[in-house]
Amino acid sequence: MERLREIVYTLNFYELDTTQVLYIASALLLLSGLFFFLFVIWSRMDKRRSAAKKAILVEKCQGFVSELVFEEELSSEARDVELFFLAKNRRKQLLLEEIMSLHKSLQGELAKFLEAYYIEKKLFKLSFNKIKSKKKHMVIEGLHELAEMNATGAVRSISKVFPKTKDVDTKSYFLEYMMKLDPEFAIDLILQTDTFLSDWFQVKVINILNETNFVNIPPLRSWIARGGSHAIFGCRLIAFTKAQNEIPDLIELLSDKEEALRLEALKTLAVLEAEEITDFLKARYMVETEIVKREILEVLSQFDYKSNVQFFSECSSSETPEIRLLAIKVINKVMKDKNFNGMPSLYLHAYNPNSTIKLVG
Amino acid sequence: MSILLIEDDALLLRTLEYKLQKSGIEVISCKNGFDAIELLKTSIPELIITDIMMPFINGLEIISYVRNVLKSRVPIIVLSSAGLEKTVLEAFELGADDFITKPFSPNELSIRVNKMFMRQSVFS
Repeated sequence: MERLREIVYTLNFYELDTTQVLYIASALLLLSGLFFFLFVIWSRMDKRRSAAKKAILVEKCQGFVSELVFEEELSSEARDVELFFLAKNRRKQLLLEEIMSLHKSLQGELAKFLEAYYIEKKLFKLSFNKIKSKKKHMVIEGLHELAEMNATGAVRSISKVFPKTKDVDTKSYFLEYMMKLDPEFAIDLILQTDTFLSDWFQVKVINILNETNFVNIPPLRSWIARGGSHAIFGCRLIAFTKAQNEIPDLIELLSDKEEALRLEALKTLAVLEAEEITDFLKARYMVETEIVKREILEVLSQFDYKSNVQFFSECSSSETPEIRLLAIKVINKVMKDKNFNGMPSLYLHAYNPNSTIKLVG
Repeated sequence: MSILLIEDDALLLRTLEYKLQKSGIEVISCKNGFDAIELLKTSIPELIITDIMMPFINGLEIISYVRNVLKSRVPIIVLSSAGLEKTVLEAFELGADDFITKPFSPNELSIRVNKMFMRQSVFS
């Protein structure tokens, strides 16, 4: 060490020539390369060791879980394994992962047993700690665990964490997972929240409602009162539940100042087959924007189109190509209908002599 | 009574093995179709329970191997995920005898296994 220090102190770098500098630089490069190589080797060996350790733990855990599920009383060996896994959070997490993996494949008594075990052994605390994390992926993981293990009692506690979340995406995940746990509670929360409800979120919620057969949603008026994406979502919920009693409120929406809302109301009325509004739609057609006009024609084409031939015939001379095409498609449908009485060409001509439709065949 | 159990989910395999062994049935487990076929070349069990979606060789290929290559009439129960109706129908066309959709109750599986064995003993 002393000798090395002497050499370093006596070295005058300004007097070194290029060759000497190159030798020193090469030596340094070689040394750092060697250290890096050794680090990589050590890192890989360490990874393999950890993987081997984990495999042993997983094997132990799986043996325990199999016995836990089928035996009324655990053996002393199994109890020791249980205590071993419940002693530290990391091992608890491993146990939770194995339980969740099994829970996915089972149903009935055994699935409920695993859910009860998740609560009884306080494994839900691991999930709760995750949802309080600042990291988005941890929050989603925690929510997923709670939903997977059907921790319905946790919804109110989750709803207390929900307002503290700033990220819009994460808020959507909160609402989505709460829907899976308790649709009734969550749908009211969705109504009250200021979070923007994206189309994708709305699709997921409707899917969950479909899976859980939950149809007891708040009335359309409450959704319209919130405005924006909530109003659009309200219309889609009505289309999903096919609530005929909401038709009057939907008709009112046809005069709303928001074009998107008018469009959504039209689509919902089409789903509800509200044919009584046909005349109203024809009147609205005269004052609407091109996009909404197209939608009105789409809706009318699904209603009793045979009685609306005159209207479609008039639309067939519209300046907008899409409207003309839509009108002609409906008229073609009428002409192909075997139950339709009368000569189609003369019929059309009587309604609209300026019609540009050419009849073929 | 011996059963060949083929399932790539390690924990589910272990759990089913435990359950069936508790009922006094000898269980031979395989984690993938490749090992299962190697095993079937040496001996054929009294019942096969196989998952459909597995790496390397899937459940349908195993059924086809048992029926067309080994020409064996050993009963086969298929474990399928929900929503794979077409695949289940294909399994029946290839020669499967019964199916259970995941998620399922192991007790239900036990009952079906016992029924299969009873049917076999009646026919034999």
